[in-house]
Amino acid sequence: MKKNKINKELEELSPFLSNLKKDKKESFSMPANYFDKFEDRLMHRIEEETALTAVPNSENKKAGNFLSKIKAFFRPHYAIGFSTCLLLIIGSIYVLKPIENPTNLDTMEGLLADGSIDTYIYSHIEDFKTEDIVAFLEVEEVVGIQEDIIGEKAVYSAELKIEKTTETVKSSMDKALDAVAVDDLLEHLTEDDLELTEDDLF
Amino acid sequence: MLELVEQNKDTEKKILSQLRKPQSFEKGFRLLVQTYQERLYWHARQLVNVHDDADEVLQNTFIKVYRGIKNFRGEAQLYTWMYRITTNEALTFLKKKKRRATVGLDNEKSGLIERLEADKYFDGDRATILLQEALKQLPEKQRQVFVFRYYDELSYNEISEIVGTSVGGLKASYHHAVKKIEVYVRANID
Repeated sequence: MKKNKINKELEELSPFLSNLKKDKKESFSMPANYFDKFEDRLMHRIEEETALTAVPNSENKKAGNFLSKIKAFFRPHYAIGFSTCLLLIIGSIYVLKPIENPTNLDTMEGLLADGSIDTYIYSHIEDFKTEDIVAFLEVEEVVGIQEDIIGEKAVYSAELKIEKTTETVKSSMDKALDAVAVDDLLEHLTEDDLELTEDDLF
Repeated sequence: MLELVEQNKDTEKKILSQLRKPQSFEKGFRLLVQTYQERLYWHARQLVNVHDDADEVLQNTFIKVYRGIKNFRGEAQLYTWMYRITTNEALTFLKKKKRRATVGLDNEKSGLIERLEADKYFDGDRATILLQEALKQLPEKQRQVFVFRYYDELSYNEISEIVGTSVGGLKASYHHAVKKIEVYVRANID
C-alpha cells in the first residue's frame, strides 16, 4: 500500500519520471551470487582488520620533525620502492619469529596480497624506529628529507621574524593611539563615519 | 503491510538481543548482514552508481556497524541508523573519489558518464544516465530525499527519522527535486 502511494505521488508529480522508474532496476546489475558471498567476504575483512590492530607496538617514539617527514614520504606515489623493501623485511621478521597467533601471519599474507602494506605503514609509522627506516632509505633520500627540514626551519624563522616585526609595529601604533585623547578622536568623527551600512553588519 | 512491519520489528529485536551477548554476537551480526545487505546495497548504489564502489561503501558501512553497535542506544530503529551510516559512507566515498580523481571539476559530468559506461554492471539507457547526472546537480539534502523516496521507497516518516527534517520539509524537497530532474532530463535527452 505504501509503495502504491509513493508511485501514485510520483505519477501525479511527473509522469515522465514515473515511466522511467519502472525500468530502473534493469539498469543496475551485479555479479552473480553477490549477496550470497558478501557476508563471508565481510567477515574475512573484519578478521583481518581486527588482527592488524592487535599487532603489538615495538619501542619507538621519534623526534616529531623527522617522523613527520618520514610520514610525508610515505604517500603512495613515493612509497612503492621503499615499502617493497620494508615489506620483505617485515615479512621475514614474521616468518622467523615464533608465531603465537596464526592469524597474524595470515594477515601479513593478506597485506602482501592486496598491497595494503603502504596504508598500514603510513598509519602505524610511529611503530617503526627512525634508525630502521633510515637504514632502508637511499643516502640521497635521507639528504633530501634533511634539506627539507632545514628549509622548513628557515621559513619558520623568517615567519617568526615577520610576526615579531608586525607586533612591534602594532605596539607602536597602539602606543600612538594611547597618546591621543578619546575626546580629540571623537571631535574629528563625522555623521557619515558613525552611520552603519549593510556591509558593517555580519 | 502491518504484518511486514511487525516482522521487521521482530527481526530487529532478535538481532539486537543476540548482539548484546558476547557468545551470540557474531551470529547476531551475521543475521543483521543477511537481513539488511540488499536494501543498504541498493541505497549505496543509487548514490555512487558503480557496483564496485557500492560494494566498498557497503563493506565500510557494516564494519562501522560492527564496531559501533555496542553504542547503539535504540532511540531510532536499527535500520534507520544503518541507513544513515550508509548515506554518510557513500557521501564520504564520493568526496574522497572526487579529490583523487584526475578528471577536473568541469568534466565531472562526463566523468560520471564514463564511469557508468565503464561499469560492466550498468546497462542503462541515456535517460537513466541523465537522471543520475541530474541527481548529482541537486543540493545534498535534496538528493538524499529523492533517493530515499524514488529509489528506496521510504515513507516520509522513515526519511524524517534518518535525516532529521520535518515531513513537510521533506515533501517540499522531494517535489522540487522531481521537477528539477524532469526538466534536466527532458532538456538533455535529445
